[in-house]
Amino acid sequence: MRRSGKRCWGALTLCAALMFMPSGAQAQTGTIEGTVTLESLPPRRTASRYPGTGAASEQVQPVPAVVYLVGSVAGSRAPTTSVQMVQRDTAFAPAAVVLGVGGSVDFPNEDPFFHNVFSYSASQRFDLGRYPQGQSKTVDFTEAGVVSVFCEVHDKMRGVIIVTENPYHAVVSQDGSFRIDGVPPGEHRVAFWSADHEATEQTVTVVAGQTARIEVELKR
Amino acid sequence: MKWIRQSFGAKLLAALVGTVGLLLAITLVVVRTQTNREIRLVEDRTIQRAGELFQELNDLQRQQADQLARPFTESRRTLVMLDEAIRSRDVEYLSGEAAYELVRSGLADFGDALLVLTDDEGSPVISMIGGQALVGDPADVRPLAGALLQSEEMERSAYRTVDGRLYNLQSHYIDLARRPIGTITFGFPVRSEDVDRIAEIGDFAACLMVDSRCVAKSSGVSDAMEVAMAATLPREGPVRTELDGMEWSIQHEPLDIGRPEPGMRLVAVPLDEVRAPFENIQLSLLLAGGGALLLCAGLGVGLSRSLTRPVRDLVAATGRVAQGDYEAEVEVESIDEMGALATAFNEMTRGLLMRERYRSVLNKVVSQDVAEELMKGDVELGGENRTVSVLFADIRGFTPMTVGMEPQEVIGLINECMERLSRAVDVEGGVVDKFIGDEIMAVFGAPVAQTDHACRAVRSALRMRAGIEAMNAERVARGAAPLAVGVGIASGIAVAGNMGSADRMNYTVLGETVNLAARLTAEAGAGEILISEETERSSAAPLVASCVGTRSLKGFSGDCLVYSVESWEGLSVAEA
Repeated sequence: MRRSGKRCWGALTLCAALMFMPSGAQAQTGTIEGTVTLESLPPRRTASRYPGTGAASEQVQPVPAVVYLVGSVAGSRAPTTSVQMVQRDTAFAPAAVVLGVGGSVDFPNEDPFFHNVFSYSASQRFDLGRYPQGQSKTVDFTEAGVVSVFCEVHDKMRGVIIVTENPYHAVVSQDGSFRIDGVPPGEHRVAFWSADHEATEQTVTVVAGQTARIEVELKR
Repeated sequence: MKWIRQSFGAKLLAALVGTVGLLLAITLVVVRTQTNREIRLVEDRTIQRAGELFQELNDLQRQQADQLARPFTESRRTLVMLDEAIRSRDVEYLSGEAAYELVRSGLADFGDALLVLTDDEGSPVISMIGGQALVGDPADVRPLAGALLQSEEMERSAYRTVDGRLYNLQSHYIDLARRPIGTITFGFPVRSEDVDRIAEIGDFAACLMVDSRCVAKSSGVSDAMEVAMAATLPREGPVRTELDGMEWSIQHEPLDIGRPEPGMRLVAVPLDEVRAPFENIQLSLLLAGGGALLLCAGLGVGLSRSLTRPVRDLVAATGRVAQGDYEAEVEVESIDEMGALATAFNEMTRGLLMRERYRSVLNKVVSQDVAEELMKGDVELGGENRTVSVLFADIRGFTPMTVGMEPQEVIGLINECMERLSRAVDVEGGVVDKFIGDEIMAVFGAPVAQTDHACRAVRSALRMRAGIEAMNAERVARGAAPLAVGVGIASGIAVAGNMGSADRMNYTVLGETVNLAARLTAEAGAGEILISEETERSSAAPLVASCVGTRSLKGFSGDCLVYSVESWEGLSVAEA
């Protein structure tokens, strides 16, 4: 189960403020790298009484796992950028977007049919309605958190927008490895998120000029 | 049982009534066995049918639940909403969205339908009845959802009681891209009208009970029946009971309500309709059997009477025959064996009668002793030498007396006279050999040998004389002329035997002694008794006789000494 993140972030912000001395030099940062192993998913349940009538279709869009630092990190700010999440070939591209609080995401429809984008995530609930090819709608993200987006028209489409208070994050590659460079030294809380797994957090101490390794297995 | 052994009619009656009674008893036992078998069959069949019907209702309600669950489980948007709301435990938001989805899915129309959402550990996040949120887990969904999540199944069902009503619950597993969200449970109350419809189709009465309290029942279940049904709960198997004059067979099966208190489905099968045809058969059987028994009894009595009457008649007739009444005859009524028997009996009595007649005729014709001898066996010609006494008695002056008399009068006179004479012979054990006109010949000592044949002959002669005197007294009294008899007796050897032809013969004696006796008779005067010397010698002391000298008799050479009998001392002729 998800824990309430806000209190955690508050405590970590205070902690970071106490521990970190201001420093601008690149050599004074460290790296976090490691691998994320995902527990395989259970076989799909089917209704014995009504074979062939499943819930959502079997094929869902794969979304890569994301690793990010939780809360604000002293001396760094997440860029308030505007990112595109294109709806193309009945999929969100890219499927995972990480952006700073205050950033926005454009959802242009490039498919020759209607798409819809909605989110029920507590931090950002929205429904952009249905719109045709060539149109785009934009959502501003003002609160940190994980926002899962779906298309009401196409069950298989899904994506995630992770809104952070710092710029330190990585999208886990196909082989499960990730690497975050330029992390200020100190103790950080690292969050691991995967669409089909239980999100988890770990505390890591980053030493300047060194690489902290984390091996994580996400349970389903 | 003695009367059965003694009476043929009773035996027949017992056999007939026994056979019909046994047949009736066996048939009744068979009918009873068949009734019980049929009842058990109907019990089993109805219970099975009830199970199927309740299963159908169950399936129907669960299909409804499936249908209602489909928008929840198939819509990505709803699943995403549920996932987020359940994870964040945003009950307020969830109830709003759920209420919206309920209206959309049509569950809201079901009024008192139950909806429960749990998280992926089975903890209820929200419970609603009729769109209203409930506190806690009143439907006790947690164990059901927990078990469903643990399993590999898509849905699970159970019964639960909420507010005293029985709910048919179906929990569905929901996931998002194979990650479990939790469960969504729909429940429909099992209403009395549903139970009633099932009971009507299956022709039984049904009641659903939780903790021995009725939660739904068919319209046929009265309060009294509810109590009676609850009373059968502790017992296994079908319980037969009588309610409002109807017989019921009550059985129960457990309902999975997931609570400590037992949930039971009770089904009461009416047995009266099953029993009715058999009762009718039994009644008809009893009536027909009773009738048959009465008929049998009547038939038996009649038949035994018609059979025993000839037998009884025969027995009575046999008794008469035994007592000498050979005229006894039985009526031949039929041509069967009894008829044949009666005919044979009649022929037998006729034969006996004929024989008796022959015998009496024989007795009249010949002396009884001769008759006995004759009837003893084959009568042969030929004779033997026997020592006998031969007596002749002759009515003196008979021919002159009968001049001018009618022949019948003559015969009457002879018969009157001969009657007395022959009786005198009989009394002394002699045999009347023959009547020769007005003369009688008697033999003593043959065919039955008598040592005192001479004495007997003499006494017989004295009795004759006394008899004639008595007769004369009567005759004189009525003005008729008296009669006199002359008697001659001779004793000695004579040939005795059957003489004549093979077809017709006489038993008689022949010889000198006979001739001598005849001659002496001719010599004897009226009332005189002459006896030969031999006779006198052969007689014993009581004889009082005087010698009357010698007589020259025709056919005899030399003179014969002749005695005249006076009396026999001590002889009472009145005895004759």
